[in-house]
Amino acid sequence: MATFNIVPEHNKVFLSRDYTNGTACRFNMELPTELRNNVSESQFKDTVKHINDIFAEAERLSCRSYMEGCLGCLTAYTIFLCVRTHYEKCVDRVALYIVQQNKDVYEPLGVKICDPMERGLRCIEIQYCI
Amino acid sequence: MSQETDLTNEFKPTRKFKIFGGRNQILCNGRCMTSHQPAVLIMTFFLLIIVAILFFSFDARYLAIRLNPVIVIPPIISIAYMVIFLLKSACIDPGIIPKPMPDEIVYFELKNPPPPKGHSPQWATEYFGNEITLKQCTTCKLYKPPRTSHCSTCNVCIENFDHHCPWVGNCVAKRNYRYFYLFGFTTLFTCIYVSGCNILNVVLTATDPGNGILDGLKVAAASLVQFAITGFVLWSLIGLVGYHTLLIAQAKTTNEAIKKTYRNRRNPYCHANIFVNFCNILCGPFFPSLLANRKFLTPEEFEFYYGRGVKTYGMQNPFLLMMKPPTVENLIPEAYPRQEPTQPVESSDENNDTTNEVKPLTASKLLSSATPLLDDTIVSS
Ligand SMILES: [Zn+2]
Ligand SMILES: [Zn+2]
Repeated sequence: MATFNIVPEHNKVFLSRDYTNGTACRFNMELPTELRNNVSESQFKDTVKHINDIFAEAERLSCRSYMEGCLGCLTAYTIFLCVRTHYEKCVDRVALYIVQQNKDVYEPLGVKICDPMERGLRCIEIQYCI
Repeated sequence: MSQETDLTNEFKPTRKFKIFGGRNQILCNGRCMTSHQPAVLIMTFFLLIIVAILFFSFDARYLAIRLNPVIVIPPIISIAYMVIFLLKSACIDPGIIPKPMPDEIVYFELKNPPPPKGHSPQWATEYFGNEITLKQCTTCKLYKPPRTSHCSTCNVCIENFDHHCPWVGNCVAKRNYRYFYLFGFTTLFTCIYVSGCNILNVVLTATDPGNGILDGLKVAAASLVQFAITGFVLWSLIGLVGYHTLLIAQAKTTNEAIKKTYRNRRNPYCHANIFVNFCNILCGPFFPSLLANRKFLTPEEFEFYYGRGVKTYGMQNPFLLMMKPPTVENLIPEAYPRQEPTQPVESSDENNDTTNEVKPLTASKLLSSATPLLDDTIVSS
């Protein structure tokens, strides 16, 4: 199994945010050059696209989100003490999806994707073996 | 390895709010935050309580008996909401982007072509079909996304920055804009309602034959105090709420309106339907705080902030770096075998073409080899 050296500048890549469609949370789908040897381009793109889709769903402006906003306001935002918001559920789904993908696909290839929330959604940290 | 480095502090679970770099005070073990100057917020609460006590002990009591008890219900609800909205806009994270760790800062600084001398690093990216450059915040060392601004009062970068409101003592931005607006709106409603009740009370007390002169004086005094407060609030708030209503209709932030960002181009966030703009801002998704104040530091982060793992980051003394965020400039030279990209500028007279060659290097070309990145830039020149 892969072990990760903690000297960061040699075995970490950071997937930057993609602002082409505004400030909504999206990540760059391009495969970083450092990972060319480990991961196939289509596989990587699928993974990031799935993450982007979950965030797009979290931030989608629809009747559902308006309902949530109104319900929150009517209950004086106390409802969120017992019910998680749609966005939080989506963040959990991203974390779960990344854990699964790491286990199924990336860890055998010596690559580990980290939860973007750990970096405050600025970027996704990806660790890899040299 | 870990025995060799001089670790003054053993790793122990530490919550992330301990390393929060902004000026806001974090309370309740990371559950909520207030501004570093809560005096005005306390004064606002004080005014609110005075008006509420006077209103409910004089006007509301009298009018409920004289006219109809229903008259008391709207102000109870609106004052309760005022408190909730005020607390929400003052005591939550307005949308702070946490400061990046050194590894991330260095990675992106190396990935982007070196900035012209005297400029902070930049990142050219696409934004709604236009090429824009995101400047690095000199304090937070993060590439400020569009609509993000650094608040010098709070000393943090804030997403969808609107303005720093001294009245609530917090920034108004992505996460608390709706509470701020709704606070203004409910306050306006409460002030108008309370003033209306005051007038009604004075008139009714004066015309009722059963009331003595003492009753009249008491009511007049209470109403006068309330009038002074509500009048002052109304006068200062009506323009503000009106202005923000206009901004919401146009889906702009105050910051953008002041800077006239959309003078020459269309606002991409503005929907044709004004009603949709209102829904998006007042009832949109609830963005979670990115600070993760309640979470624990990873061993790596702990080592950076509390340990002395100099080798770990290839940086100089991490305690110094806490004061001055790390950049390529203060890396330990041994960690990077060659000189930094800022160095060759000294000899810019003899090779002007060198800098020209370095600039158009794309990030992918820079990162194409597994050897340390800076080697590549120098070798290619
Ligand atoms: Zn900043
Ligand atoms: Zn501020």
